[in-house]
Amino acid sequence: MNLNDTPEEAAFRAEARAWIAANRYDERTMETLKGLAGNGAPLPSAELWALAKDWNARKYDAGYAVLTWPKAFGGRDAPNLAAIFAEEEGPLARFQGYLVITQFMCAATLMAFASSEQKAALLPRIARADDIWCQMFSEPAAGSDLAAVRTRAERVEGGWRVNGQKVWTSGAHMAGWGTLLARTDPTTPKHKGLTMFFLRMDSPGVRVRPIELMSGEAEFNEIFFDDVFIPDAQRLGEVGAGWKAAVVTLNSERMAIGAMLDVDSAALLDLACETGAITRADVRQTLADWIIKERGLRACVARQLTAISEGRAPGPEAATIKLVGGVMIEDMAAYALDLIDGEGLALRPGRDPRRVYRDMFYFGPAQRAAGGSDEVLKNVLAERVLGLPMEDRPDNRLPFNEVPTAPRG
Amino acid sequence: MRLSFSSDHQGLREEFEHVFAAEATSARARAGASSPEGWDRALWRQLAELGWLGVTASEAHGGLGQDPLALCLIAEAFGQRLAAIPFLGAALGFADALLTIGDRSLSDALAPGVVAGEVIGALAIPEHFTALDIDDGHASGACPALMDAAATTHILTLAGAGSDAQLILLDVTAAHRERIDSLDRVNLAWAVTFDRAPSRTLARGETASDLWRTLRARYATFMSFVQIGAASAALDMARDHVIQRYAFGRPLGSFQAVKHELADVLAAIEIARSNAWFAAAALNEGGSALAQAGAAARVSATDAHRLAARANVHLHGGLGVTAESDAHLHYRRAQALGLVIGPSSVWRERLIAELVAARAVAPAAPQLPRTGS
Repeated sequence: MNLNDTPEEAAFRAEARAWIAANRYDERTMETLKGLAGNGAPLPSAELWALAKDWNARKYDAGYAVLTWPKAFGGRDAPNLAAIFAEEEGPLARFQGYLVITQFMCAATLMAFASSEQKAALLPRIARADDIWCQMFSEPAAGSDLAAVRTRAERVEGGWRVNGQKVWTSGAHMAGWGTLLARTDPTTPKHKGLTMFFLRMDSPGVRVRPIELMSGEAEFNEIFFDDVFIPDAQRLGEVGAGWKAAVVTLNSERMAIGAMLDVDSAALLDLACETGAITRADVRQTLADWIIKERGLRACVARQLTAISEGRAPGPEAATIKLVGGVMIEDMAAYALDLIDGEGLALRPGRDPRRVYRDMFYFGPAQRAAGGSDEVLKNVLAERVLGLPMEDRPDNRLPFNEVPTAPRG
Repeated sequence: MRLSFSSDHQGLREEFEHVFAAEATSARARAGASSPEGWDRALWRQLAELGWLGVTASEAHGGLGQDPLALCLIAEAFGQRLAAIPFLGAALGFADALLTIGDRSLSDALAPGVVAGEVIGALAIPEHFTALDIDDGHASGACPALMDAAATTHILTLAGAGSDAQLILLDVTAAHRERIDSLDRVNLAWAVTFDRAPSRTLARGETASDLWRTLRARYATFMSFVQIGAASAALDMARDHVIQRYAFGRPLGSFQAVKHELADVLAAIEIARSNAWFAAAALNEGGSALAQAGAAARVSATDAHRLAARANVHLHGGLGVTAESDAHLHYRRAQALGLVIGPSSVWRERLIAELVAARAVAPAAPQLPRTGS
């Protein structure tokens, strides 16, 4: 139990602070970046991606990127230092969110299953974010029920031919590479007929189509595979062991969970102070509740980081953080929009706090569905932590191609 | 930041649990509370003999000489069981206050008695008193409902405010006490009235108020561990029930509606646990972070405990509302513990007041441009 830095951590913090101060962007850009969490108008998506890559490249060149990675791959195996660096980055830390899939999820899967030549060629480019990767998992008929993916990979001379469709793939429009979970055997039960691959996104037959969301943003994509060839050398793990590889991908997300915590009750308190709403007793009580919950979430992240750094398996923290944090985004956004101005249905040009809370309002529902919906997380907590019995699941024992997919008759 | 308890702390907790789990059964708690004395003096003596009433007291005073982190885990283990003993006020609040006040002669005089279970202290918030008149080393007054006060010998409280504030220690050994209809069925509340009880002023003015705020935040932190232990006990009871109870040909706990209710309870407990661990670290370091951390731990733990107790009653169906089931003991306790050192609304207000003051922004007229009109 220690709220303070160790001497090593304090030294790193001082070093990080000095480096960030010397290398961050000019005031105007920083001011706009705060718009991601503060008061300004957001930058267009393409500019943000470019800045995210540039900032990461600066970090990489100075030795501050991928601090959580194992030393063997150029990291420092230090989630605590990564957390400290992010605290010092301030608004710049938001860029890590763009790189979670590349540097955590896809990288972890490559580290576990790629050949040493592949790792040597691909990981440094990932660490510098020269290459953006996407993770092609969800499909129109396989979201929460991820093991039901139907995108088919069939053996051909020297490799595999892929046909099918993926959806909700974050960042695919920016990605040069991607990992792919595909079905190689539809005649065995669902978890056993899957295999993991990776491929270049400019492979012939791959078509990426961004999906416009309610916010007007288009960070998610549909991907169509039309007789796409993947060399067998780009298979990750054994044939039929794709579920195991998918679990490696999904588990790596917990290392990034702090970067995913997207609630800022302090900004809401600022807003209430600025508008004078803070004099209302009901506002004070509601804000206190969120501040307390956010403090709990951040301490939960700290518990998890501590467990990882002590070599212990983390408990139910990750699912708790995602479950509680997701609903909070929706609740806080709706509350803030009401609080700012009951009449204010329209955005004003320029600086307008509504913009930030509108973005949260639009983003909340996506957060509650992505990477394990609330319902899936609750099942995980109930079954794996509390030990409640699973429901009868015929899909686990039937060959995949005999699992019902629609009402009978 | 590191949030984890050492294996030494966990080992000590297991040692305590080993004794306490065997003795502190709900049957015994019920019997103790409905005995003529209204509490379980035998269990109290047993814990005293084993040193568990003086976890943080020095070895010179007969205690175990452990740090407050150890006491946090013991508090959690205590919370997991029902026991008709004044552990909360005496072994947590009062025992810790004696050390924190740091008055050598005071702790020399009282700590050995606390460890032996003969000095049974309580921290009473000013709101607990309907009257309190202090005059020349004596005090008269009344607490219409003080938890666990069957055998309370000392009450520590803050009287007055501002420059008139006094941190006072009342000797209520001779006070009149009357059992009342308690919200908590195990840890009963008593109406305590005292006339010219010996009173000692430990601090005055700002010093007294500051000290009181620290004592209160520390007590809130220990209490949050008790509440988390109690919440886990209610959750475990609900889980055990829904696993063995069948309906519609399958275990109740296999229905998602049931799973999701309990998953929400688990998530609330994990948030509360995280806030409590942070507060424990702040308490152990003794810095200014405790004021906010203690308030956050207190509110979170009350929420989690009440949610767990309510889910437990509900998932037991009709059985949950009977006197026979222990479910109502948890339910009533959860409500009562949330009140003992003031309700959550007060702690939320304390937190927000601190934060607003820290911003040094006086709530001013709206600065944003407004639409309409």
